[in-house]
Amino acid sequence: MSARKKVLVFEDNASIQTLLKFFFQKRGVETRIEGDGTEAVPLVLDYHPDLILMDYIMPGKDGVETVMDLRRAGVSTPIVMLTSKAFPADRARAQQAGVTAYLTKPFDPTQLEAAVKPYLAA
Amino acid sequence: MIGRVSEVVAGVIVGRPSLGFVIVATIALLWLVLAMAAYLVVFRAYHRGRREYRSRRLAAYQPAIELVLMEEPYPAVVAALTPRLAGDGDCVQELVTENMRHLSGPPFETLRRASVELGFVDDNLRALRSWDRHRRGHAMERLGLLRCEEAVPGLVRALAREDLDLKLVAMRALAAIGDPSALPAIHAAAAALPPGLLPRLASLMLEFGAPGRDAVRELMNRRAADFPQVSIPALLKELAQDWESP
Repeated sequence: MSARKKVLVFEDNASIQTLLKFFFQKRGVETRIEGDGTEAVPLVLDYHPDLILMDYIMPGKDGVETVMDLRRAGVSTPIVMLTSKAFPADRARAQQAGVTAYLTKPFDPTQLEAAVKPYLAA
Repeated sequence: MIGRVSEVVAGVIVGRPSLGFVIVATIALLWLVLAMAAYLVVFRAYHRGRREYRSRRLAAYQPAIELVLMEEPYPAVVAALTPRLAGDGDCVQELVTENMRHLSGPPFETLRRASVELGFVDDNLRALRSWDRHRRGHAMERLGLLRCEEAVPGLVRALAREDLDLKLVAMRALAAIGDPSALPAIHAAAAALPPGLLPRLASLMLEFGAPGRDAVRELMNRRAADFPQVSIPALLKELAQDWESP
């Protein structure tokens, strides 16, 4: 029997946290939600998620800096950045930092599913 | 009696108040402080209680959002969103529009359809004419989130008559709805905006797509000197889309 997949979400907006929790719950994925990326590295190294969902703008450290920290620490977990920022420069910055995929908000659950499915497949 | 009062007042005026006056004044001040403290305690307790009640009512309807995300049948969604207590209508609207802010695709359309069926659109259209400024502002914001095309005439009127803050709310709502017929009115309202807000206005206009880009070009030509220099490169990049090869 394959182990349950785990997702770690970094998102500070309470409504989006709830939406993402429901989204993954429906798909039988264990979800942990954090409101900021300050302690991202020890969290990821301890929790061993199969996928990380990262918001671009968070209090304290922003999503791109958090991704840079994770990649510098040797974390190779796929990271999907979910953000309302759609400017090409921001997308390029995120991809340079090591983001695996980039999705803009408001999010369509169908598109989110297509984006995360490859990383959560058994 | 009047003579006694006159003596006391005279004493206060010359800086030599009587002991009796000092005692009475001190007691009166203490009562005043106690009354203000009691008012603050009651005031805070009332508002805390109100916030907590509202949070509980919002939580009662949260399962409806779960039904939407789990693609449950539409009648079940509507039933779950139907207000059950007096005053719940506003809570449900807040829950629905807050979630619509973050969703697109089928879940957004389900919530929008339910909002129309539950009368939220009509409520907010009526609220555009409310005497209460806050109600008008909330209504504008919600009509924008609901992408309510019927609200465009009311929002355009708001651009002409409301203060600056509500003008901006109306502009955001019109940009969210995306009806290009509102662009001339938005352009006209730009005359009242201070230069610092012009980049924000231009960003809103860009949400209308190609007609919005035309409007931004016109705005930048007309008020070129008013646009902050730092905002111009990003705006020009957006406008350049029309010259990129297909």
